[in-house]
Amino acid sequence: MAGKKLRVVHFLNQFFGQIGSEDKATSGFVVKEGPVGPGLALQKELGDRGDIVATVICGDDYFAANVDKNAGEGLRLVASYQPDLFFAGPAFAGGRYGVACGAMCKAVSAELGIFVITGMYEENPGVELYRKYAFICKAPNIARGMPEVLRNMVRLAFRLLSGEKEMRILTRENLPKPEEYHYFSRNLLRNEYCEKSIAERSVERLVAKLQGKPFESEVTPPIFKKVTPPAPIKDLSHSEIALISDGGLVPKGNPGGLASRSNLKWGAYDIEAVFREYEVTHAGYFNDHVLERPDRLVPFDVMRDLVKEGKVGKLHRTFFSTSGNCTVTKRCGEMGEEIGTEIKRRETIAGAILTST
Amino acid sequence: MVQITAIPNIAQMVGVNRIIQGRAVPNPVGDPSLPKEKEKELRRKYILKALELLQKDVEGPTVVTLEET
Repeated sequence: MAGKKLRVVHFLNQFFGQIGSEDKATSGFVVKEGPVGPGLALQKELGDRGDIVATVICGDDYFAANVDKNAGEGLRLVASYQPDLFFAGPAFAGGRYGVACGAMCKAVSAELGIFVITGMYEENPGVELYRKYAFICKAPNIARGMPEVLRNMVRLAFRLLSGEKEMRILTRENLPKPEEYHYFSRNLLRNEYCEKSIAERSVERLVAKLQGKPFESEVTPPIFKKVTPPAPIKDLSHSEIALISDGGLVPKGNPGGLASRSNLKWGAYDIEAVFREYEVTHAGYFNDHVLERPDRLVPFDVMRDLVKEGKVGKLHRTFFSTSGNCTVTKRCGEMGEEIGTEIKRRETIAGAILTST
Repeated sequence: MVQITAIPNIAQMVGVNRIIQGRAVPNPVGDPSLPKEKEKELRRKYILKALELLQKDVEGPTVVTLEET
């Protein structure tokens, strides 16, 4: 890489690309040769090592209307310049802009295999969506921080291009320390060498904690929100109850394609149909008992009896099913929200029983 | 919503408010060691307990086991 001048392409929105302000947010892709706006400062940071050969500009609203399609369109424009390096933004707190920068980075990296670097404020939705696919430098939430962010973006780029392997990482990958290069950790799990053993590190932290001294956790568990308990059901004999389960009971053939591990989907199935022909897609518990009698997981027989006896008003005819084996907590929360939203949308359901394995 | 699970402390941790202690992980409302009719009676007890809890006020995560009245 030494000696060869880098061909660099820069992506900007309509505002930083000097097309116009919110009034021009619907404008489509425009390409200008050379650096534009903050690209001039970016070019200065690059110095002799690289030339910004083109600036690809797109309106925030235009891009947001169809992110994937427009990332494809942008990618074609970027690719035509055969870049060695790609920068986007920085977007600071701009949500549409951040998503556009992230999507452009993801597309360019996947197709051209070059390093892609952008910058965002930590609350920008683009961070969570794209941190795995791009190096996102930390930026403040106002553009006054521009010079410093650009400097960090270029410094990170040069470090990546040096090909220097991070020797403390077991796989010796080219992954600079996020704290050292001011970017959001990419949430990639890697094993690292440490000077002290885990036993020593754990005890040191425990002693610090007991002494009321500050210490830093290596792994922080997620914090769960408190949920206000819903009001109790008033009249069960006139109420409709729905059944939900995470034990992986699905119609035979698993039409919804639920995974038996790390599942991301849920389904709403006619309960009578499921009990006629079913299978279990959950590799985290011994399935035989449920396969022999699925009521052991989803209490269809008892609920039917209770409805017949008038103790429960009605059993909702669809059963909500998912498979909860090694499922990502965040997705679990989303699935819960989605199922809850669907239940509320149906308007007749007063309560639900969730049976879990 | 009321959750029936054999591992109620996980439910408590994530903030579920109405929890019934289930029978076992592979059969939360069943017991394969019992004859069919006895097992169904047991399952009915679990569901009635769950429905009872749905009709009760709770202040936060509350675990109820079958033995409690």
